[in-house]
Amino acid sequence: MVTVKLPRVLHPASRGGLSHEVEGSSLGAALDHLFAMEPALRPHLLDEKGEIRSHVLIFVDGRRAVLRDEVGDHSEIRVLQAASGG
Amino acid sequence: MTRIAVGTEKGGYILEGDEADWEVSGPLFPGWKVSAFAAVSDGYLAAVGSNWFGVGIHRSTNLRDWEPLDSPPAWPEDAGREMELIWRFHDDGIRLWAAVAHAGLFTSLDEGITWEPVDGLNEHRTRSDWQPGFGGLAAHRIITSAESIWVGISAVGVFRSDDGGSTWDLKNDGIGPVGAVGEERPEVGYCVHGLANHPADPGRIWRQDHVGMYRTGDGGDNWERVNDGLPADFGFVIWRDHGSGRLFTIPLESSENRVPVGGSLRVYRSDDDGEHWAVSGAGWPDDPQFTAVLRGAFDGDGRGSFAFGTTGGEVWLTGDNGESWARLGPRFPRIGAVSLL
Repeated sequence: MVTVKLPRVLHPASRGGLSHEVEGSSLGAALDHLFAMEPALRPHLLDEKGEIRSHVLIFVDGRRAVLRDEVGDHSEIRVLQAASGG
Repeated sequence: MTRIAVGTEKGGYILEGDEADWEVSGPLFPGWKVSAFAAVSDGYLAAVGSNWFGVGIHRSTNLRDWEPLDSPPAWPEDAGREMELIWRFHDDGIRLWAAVAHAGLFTSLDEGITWEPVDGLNEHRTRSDWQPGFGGLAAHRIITSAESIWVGISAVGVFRSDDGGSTWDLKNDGIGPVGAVGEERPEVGYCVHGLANHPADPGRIWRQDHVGMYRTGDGGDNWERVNDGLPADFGFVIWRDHGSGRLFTIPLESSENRVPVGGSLRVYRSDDDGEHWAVSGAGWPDDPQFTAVLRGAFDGDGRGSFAFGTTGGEVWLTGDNGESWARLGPRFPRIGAVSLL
């Protein structure tokens, strides 16, 4: 299972809390599994074209990742709180 | 008991109370801009937005416990538009409407669970000419009456549909355009800031525009300027207390300097349908207030209560139809949305 950790600001959109166990061999597949459990998260992480929103950073095992990047059975996916802006 | 929902740049708050005794709860949705509240048949909705995480809608039956809705309004993948903010909800008793930026109108028949774009407006033949104002390219006002719908879009103008939203016409004759060059009158480019109408005669509409206060008696076919007594043309607020017919507005100095004229924060009222305006009641601060009231930051109950919030984070209320005014509660973050619930 892959662990997805969300920033606190996304708590209102995630009924199951800030940590989720999902399945998937790529970041995109893991997020699809996450959105099946927590559909309200989708528009907060992906844009209208289905890409990661432009100011959202997602790391897999400590490295910045894009949707096609592979994830392992025990990977940790972290969605970062935005560090820019007011 | 009066209950005021306050949407700010950083969270939402609920003020509940009477006279001088007010309780504050919140913040709701910490870290989120709360752009709109609405009472719907089975509870309440709140719209949130973020520069990074997009928009969302949350639903509650008690204003304390909220759950996210799975599918807020969204533009199609090929539309080339972003869902930046939900500016306003409007419940016509059958359908729920949402006015959004990038400018568009969406409607829901299931209390906000699913939303459909109103293509007749969103894909209007003039769409390619729509340009954003300082506040973005936003649809932010909705009036409905039977099959007629009016929508205000900044900085485009007022649109009217007489067939339930299938087809739309621009209704801005008599309004000065913003930033037009040359003698030819443009079809779009009219920066409507606020709309209020007469419920028994819905074609009578008052309009706080970027360039002044206007009214129409024919649903927007013709607009006339009604600024007598106002210290400035600019402002965002127009509210009609339906019980008394009294109109309220809050003039700001100018487009360039969006603060009360001379720092004098005052609501102005009209008791003759906008013919004449004067300062409303007492209770205003003597010291200067260089703060503004934005287009979503006011609401009333139609029975003499009217509240507004400022960019300085203050909430003001009258409970006697503008005879007396008082500031309530703590100082909040910049306020963009106020609803009496």
